Amino acid sequence: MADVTIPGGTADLANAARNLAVIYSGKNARILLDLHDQLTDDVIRLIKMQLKAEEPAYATAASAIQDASEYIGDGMKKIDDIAKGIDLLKKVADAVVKLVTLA
Amino acid sequence: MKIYQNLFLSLIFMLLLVGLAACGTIPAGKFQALESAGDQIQTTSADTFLRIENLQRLIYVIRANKLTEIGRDTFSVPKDLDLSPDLKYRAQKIETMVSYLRLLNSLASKDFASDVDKASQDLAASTQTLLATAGQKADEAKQVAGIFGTVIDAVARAAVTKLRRDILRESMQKGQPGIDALAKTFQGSSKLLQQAVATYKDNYLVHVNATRPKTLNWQLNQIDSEIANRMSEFNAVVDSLQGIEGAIGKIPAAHREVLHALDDPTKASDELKALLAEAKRIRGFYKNLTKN
Repeated sequence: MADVTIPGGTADLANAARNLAVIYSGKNARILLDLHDQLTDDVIRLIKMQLKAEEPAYATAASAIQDASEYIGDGMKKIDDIAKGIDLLKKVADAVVKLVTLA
Repeated sequence: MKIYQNLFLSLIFMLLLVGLAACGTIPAGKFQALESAGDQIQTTSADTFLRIENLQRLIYVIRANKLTEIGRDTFSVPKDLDLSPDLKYRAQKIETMVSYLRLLNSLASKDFASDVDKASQDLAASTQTLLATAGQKADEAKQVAGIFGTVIDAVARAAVTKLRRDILRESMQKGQPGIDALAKTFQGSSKLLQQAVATYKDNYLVHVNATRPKTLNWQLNQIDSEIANRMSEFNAVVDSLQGIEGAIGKIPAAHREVLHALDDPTKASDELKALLAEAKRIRGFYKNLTKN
């Protein structure tokens, strides 16, 4: 996955989390909405990094985004295991924060 | 017969005068147009950057709806997410460009001596501020400041001894790489800012949907009207960022064209016209928004 797709991929997953939050209810919906906010913030962090032309290794974050995207898709329909979906989204959120912190 | 001979000689003399005037004429209107386009781009950019800062703050206001209690920093944009420093640096790059175009226009004007010194000082101040706001872009800012520094030196050195047209030519030849470099830095980075605004738009929509009253009443119409206006503003900002990038991208070619026009004032000014048209177009993105 090319570096330039990381903000785009993270933004797509933020939208997927929002879409899943509409389908699910209760605790999962709240977690998904919080993840939507967290991933939105991550997109802005990534954009700020690219604006500064910093180019650290994106491999972990890129891989996490790819895994989550493949499993969740656009979040418009139920998935086999919502707990796994949430875990994959958490990994993306954490990986991006780690990437930004290390930069 | 002698009358015809005199008329013929007079005609030849007039044609010679017109020819000489054309050779020595500075196309002052083109320099005014360059500065005017720069001013319009700067005004639109300032408006757009301010709107981005306000929309970013709005996100933290609307996110606070889910909190039971607000704190001292609830509505503050966290430092690591704040786009303001990036926007300020972009604004400073535009300011440097416009200061340079203003200096050229001062050199091109008839009573230039009084204006040139002030314009030179303004450009020097702009490049200093550019260096101060560059942060991690210090190398980029140093390159640009260095180029415009040679322009300022050339103007100061040559102002007394050379003809205005020669000073202009030398300044523009030295300034062209600076204009090229500055315009290039806007390519691509503008798309990142567009993406940031589009991302915030999605986040805004999620939160207004979560708190929007579900009962149909007059208050709901007012809330929806406010939401519609905000959504239009998000879209207008994205369009404006795209337009600003496009307009700035046209400055180098227009600058080169005006430089060539110093030696050939009859040369067509298609690039300058295209720049002016784009600078005028980008002023209209916020016209249809309701005042907040």
